[in-house]
Amino acid sequence: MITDLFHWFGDPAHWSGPDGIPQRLLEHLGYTVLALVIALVIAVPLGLFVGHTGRGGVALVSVGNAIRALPTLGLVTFLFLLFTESVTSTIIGLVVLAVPPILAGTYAGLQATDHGVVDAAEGVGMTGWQRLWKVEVPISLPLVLGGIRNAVLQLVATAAVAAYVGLGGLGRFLLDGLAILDYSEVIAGALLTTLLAIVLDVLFALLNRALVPKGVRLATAAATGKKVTA
Amino acid sequence: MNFFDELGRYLGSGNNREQILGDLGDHIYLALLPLVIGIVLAIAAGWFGHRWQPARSVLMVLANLLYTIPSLALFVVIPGLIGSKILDSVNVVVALTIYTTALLVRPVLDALDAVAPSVIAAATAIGYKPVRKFFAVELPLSVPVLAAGVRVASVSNISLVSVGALIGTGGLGVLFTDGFQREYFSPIVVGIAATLVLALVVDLVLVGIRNLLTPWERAGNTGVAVA
Amino acid sequence: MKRLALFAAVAFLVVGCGNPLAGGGEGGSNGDIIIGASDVGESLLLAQIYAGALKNAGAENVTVRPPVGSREVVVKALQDKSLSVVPDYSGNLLRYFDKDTQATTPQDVYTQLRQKIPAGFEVLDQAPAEDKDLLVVGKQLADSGVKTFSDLGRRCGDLVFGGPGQWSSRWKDKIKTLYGCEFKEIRTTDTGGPVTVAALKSGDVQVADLFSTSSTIAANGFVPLTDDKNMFPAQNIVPLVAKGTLSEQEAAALNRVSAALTTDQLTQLNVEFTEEKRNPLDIAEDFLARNNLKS
Repeated sequence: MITDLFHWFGDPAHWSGPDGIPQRLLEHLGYTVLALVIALVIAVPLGLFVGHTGRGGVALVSVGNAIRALPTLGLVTFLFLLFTESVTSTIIGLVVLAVPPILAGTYAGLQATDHGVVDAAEGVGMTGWQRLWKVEVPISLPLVLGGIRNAVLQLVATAAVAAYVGLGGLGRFLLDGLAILDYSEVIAGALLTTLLAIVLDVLFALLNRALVPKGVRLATAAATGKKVTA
Repeated sequence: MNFFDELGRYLGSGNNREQILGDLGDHIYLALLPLVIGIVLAIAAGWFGHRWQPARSVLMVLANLLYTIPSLALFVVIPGLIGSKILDSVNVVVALTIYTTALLVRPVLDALDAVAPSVIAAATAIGYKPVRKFFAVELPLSVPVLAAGVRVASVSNISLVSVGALIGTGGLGVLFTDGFQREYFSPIVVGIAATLVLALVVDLVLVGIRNLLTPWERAGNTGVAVA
Repeated sequence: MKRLALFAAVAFLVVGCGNPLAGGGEGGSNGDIIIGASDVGESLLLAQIYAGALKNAGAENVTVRPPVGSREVVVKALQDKSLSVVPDYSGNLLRYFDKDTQATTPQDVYTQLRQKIPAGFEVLDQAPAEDKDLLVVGKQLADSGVKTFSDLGRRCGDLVFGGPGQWSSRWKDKIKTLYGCEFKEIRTTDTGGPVTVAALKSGDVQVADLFSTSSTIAANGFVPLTDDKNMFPAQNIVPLVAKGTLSEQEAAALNRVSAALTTDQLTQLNVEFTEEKRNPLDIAEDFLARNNLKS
């Protein structure tokens, strides 16, 4: 089977044209990025607002959890019947599924900022905006990035499932191959989808290192597992 | 005929109702069996990782990697890996067990880490051997943190079982593929609703079990530092 | 700790003992009959009809599995006895086992099928009912003078085609040889399902592969083209059986079903399923009652 897989990847026909690996990879990445951007635009301001003002947090998190329980296949088929078009319906579904983790991360991130630190910031004369961008956001960054990371994984997985309602992308290899039991195509699809997820995951790990101030990273590491709850 | 009429007609057929209930039963089994097995495996793995530092790092990397694998990709690869029959529901069970275990390893490790050294010292002092210490002290104290992870895993499993319909497994996912093929909203809506209700009910049950297993949390703060 | 242990024990008992799917993965050897269906809606209907007929003939333990994949998956499942019987289409089934067959008429196809079918499988009597592949276009294209496959052949280079994933490997060469048709693009939509219909309706594809008994052609005002050189062979409904899983009585029951199944009846079943959205079990029961196959 491994040799078949090598043959599949070695076949130049699989690397060109609308069914080729590059095209499908780009499509998949495209749907993921587009949905991510839209979800960020919706979820981050919302999360910042709720986290900063402390209003409506519980309700928002509950709704978020309910959305996370939505079955992906149910959501994409429902949306397809509504919009009768693969791409529109899938992007909407992807955005709906990506918003809760980003929202939860942003909200949790702001919640995690120690009130003492925020008070100190207010004490040295920072305005609300300054507190938000110079203190709260950097401290909450690990959790926010974590939320976005979860969202991206969810997006890659769901975009693969959406091949069922006619979407392009790497899921096509999975479903089309499965339909004719062409295991090379199926495994290739699984491998490519997984690799994409891993690469994006690693990207976020690197982003975390790059963006989160060293002091916050150290503080988070020191605090992990040692928090005392009343 | 508007949507509600259609829904009424759909639910009005005895055969339809029977199918929905059958699919629900399958779904519950396919989501919860991996949960239980995953909890056991995660506790075992966590125990190893807690004892031996090198095992811990390997576990964390492996768990992270496995959890990253997209659902459909994992489902289709499993028959080839474990030699199961192509239509066998065991494929979904194995895949979800992998996800559950990968998800729960970290909470287990965190929870075991968080048990205060003073408590462990006390247990050793009154003569508990390591195994008994684990099951009588460390594990029960881990329940709250574990429970949080199990709740996340259960919601995830319940949602993912539906994807199994794409590889021919039963469960509520069958309602989605049926509704899609016939351009019929009712089965899809019923399937989504049933999934959400199931997730809610299971979550409530899990919270109840957690509370049952941790009576000291409700008894109030005894002053012992436990995370 | 006691509570934990008690809870764990109960959890294992509850979950371990009650497997509602037990027996769903094996069959054949212990007398279970498991009927499968491909991912075409009609296939599930036929599976339910077979199931009903078998139960009426006295078979116990008859189950119908949820539809899955296409012929390749189904054949594999029959081979490892995860399935016992599947309703299939004579022409495509023959081509599956003999890619170069030239048979096109119902009788020729069936005769060759009986010859070419591998050990371990058998086909029972075929039904008069046929469900053939159709190349379908929108009204505009039809009105502009495309009425047959030959007409299409001249215009293929400008047209985008939508069909099942396996269509390309099955028919791309044949349609080029017979009709000189090479589509501008062959796109995978689905097997005569909503994605194909939506794509044809919106104009994303201009030619689509649908099926002759499907109700979506008339419902959407699509125009089927005439296969003037008989590229698509006859497709009579025929039960494909894993050898040894059905008794003589049970096989006879299925033969009685096949004898009663005409193309008109099949088309009507499809309308009930797709347009009227009736439950497949209800449709099957009515069909069996209508044709006196109840007892």
